Amino acid sequence: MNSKTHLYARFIAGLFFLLLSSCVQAKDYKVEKIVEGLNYPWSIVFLPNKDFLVTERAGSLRMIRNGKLLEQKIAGLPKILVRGQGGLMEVILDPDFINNQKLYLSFSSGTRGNNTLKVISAKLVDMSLKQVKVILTVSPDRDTPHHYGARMVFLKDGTLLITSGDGFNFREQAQQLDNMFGKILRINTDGSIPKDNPFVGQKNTLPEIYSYGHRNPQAILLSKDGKIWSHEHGPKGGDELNLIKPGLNYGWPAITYGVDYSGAIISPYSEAEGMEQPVTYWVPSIAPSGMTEYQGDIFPEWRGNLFVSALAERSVRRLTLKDGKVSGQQVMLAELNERIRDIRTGPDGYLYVLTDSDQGSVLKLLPEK
Amino acid sequence: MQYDAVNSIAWMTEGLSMIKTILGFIASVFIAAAIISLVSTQLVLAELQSFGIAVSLLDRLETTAKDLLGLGITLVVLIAPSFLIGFTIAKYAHKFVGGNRKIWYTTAGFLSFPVTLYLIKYFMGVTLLASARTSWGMLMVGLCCMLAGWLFATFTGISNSEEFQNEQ
Repeated sequence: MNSKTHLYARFIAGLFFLLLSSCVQAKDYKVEKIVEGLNYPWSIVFLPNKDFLVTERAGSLRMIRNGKLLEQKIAGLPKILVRGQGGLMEVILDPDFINNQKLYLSFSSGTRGNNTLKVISAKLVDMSLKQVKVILTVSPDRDTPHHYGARMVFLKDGTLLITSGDGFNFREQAQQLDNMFGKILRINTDGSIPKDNPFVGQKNTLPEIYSYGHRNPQAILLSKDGKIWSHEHGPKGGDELNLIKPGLNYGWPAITYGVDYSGAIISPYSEAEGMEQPVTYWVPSIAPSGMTEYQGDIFPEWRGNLFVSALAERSVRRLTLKDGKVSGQQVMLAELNERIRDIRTGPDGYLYVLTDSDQGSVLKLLPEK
Repeated sequence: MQYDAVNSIAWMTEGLSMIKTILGFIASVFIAAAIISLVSTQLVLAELQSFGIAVSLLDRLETTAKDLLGLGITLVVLIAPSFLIGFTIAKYAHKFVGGNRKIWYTTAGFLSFPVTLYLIKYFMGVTLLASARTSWGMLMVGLCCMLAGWLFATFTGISNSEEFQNEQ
């Protein structure tokens, strides 16, 4: 076999394996609609009794029981500003929910010209929230209804990480430590500040800050191996996946892989000393909106993968990781042509997805066979 | 016969005046876009420097050039309708209220684009032009447009046809 024939044979074999792998990937899963008719669902949690709680950005907390959306809404929510990207956003359960029934909600609050992100703790009693307490008010207020961040996760020590966006018009403040724009914040569940936060005791610096230089982080999770993953919306291009470590500067807007929506250069630089590089970034933007690390048993081949929901790309990206780096990406659910707001792993091992519209749905991913 | 000749001259001068106005308008829009782009780039780079980032002259020139092409197009699209409305108001304000023509157009230039930015902020909740997010930046943008308004008023001047009609 001469070298040219050998080359053709390798090309055809490569093409064959590519086609085969795409067929295998296409048959990995099927999608089942669990619930529809949700008004911009934003976040979902799974209660120990197998009920689901879903936030609607339009300002409601809804219960799904036995696969049905209950008409009655959870009562006792505080006044919520529903405007722009704001509204009721994240819901997460206390690590000890089974004993204390506590949950945490993030939402925009205030008026059109003077609003902010707040986080409350509350006790879920039947269909009501009781003992509602504000545990974080992002400062200062803003006059824009965009870039709230608003995702949350518990660390193993019981402290709470909260993402806070740059408010769109205040991007420069993401580099300053005297405000909460463009930061990841860490607090205790009573609203107090952990003593080991990286900037505690420093002058002109807010002690709640855990990391800074973020734009609009809309996912944060603690992986099985203890890493903190977060992703954030870039401007036009430059969405980022980051490994979060305390006290570090993630660069926005001093370094970026994107440009402004107006076409303007935000920064001529994509790297600088003392500023962290993303693990990966997306140009053009996919608009990452939620994320889960899969550790279930239903799709054993996906264990350890990150799943990123995307609004602009109308898809879910499955990221395979190797040595803390992204080694591969698969675009999933693009066939639905829906903006995807969030993705979570259920306690039953299935993946659950929220679609982003005024007729939003909860979808469940199941194995094809 | 003499009446026809006079009429023809009036038509020609009016046509020339309209071409002058159109050219003046296009020039003022592009000049405003170019100056705002130049100023915006420097304001944004100044912010980067305040974070401790060293901006070299080459990077500054390259960013300025890229912005002229990237941001410049967006600015032309936004400034053109702003000036069209602003200068139309200035024309009729001058006609019905009187006063100094250049002051009307300069004021229209100063206000029209910032008003557009304000309206975008009101309806969309964001200020599209990063450099205009502070009062100082917005003032700079207004001053650039003010210059463009003054240039438009100077270039177009009192049209020949208006002068001709005034003499009748």
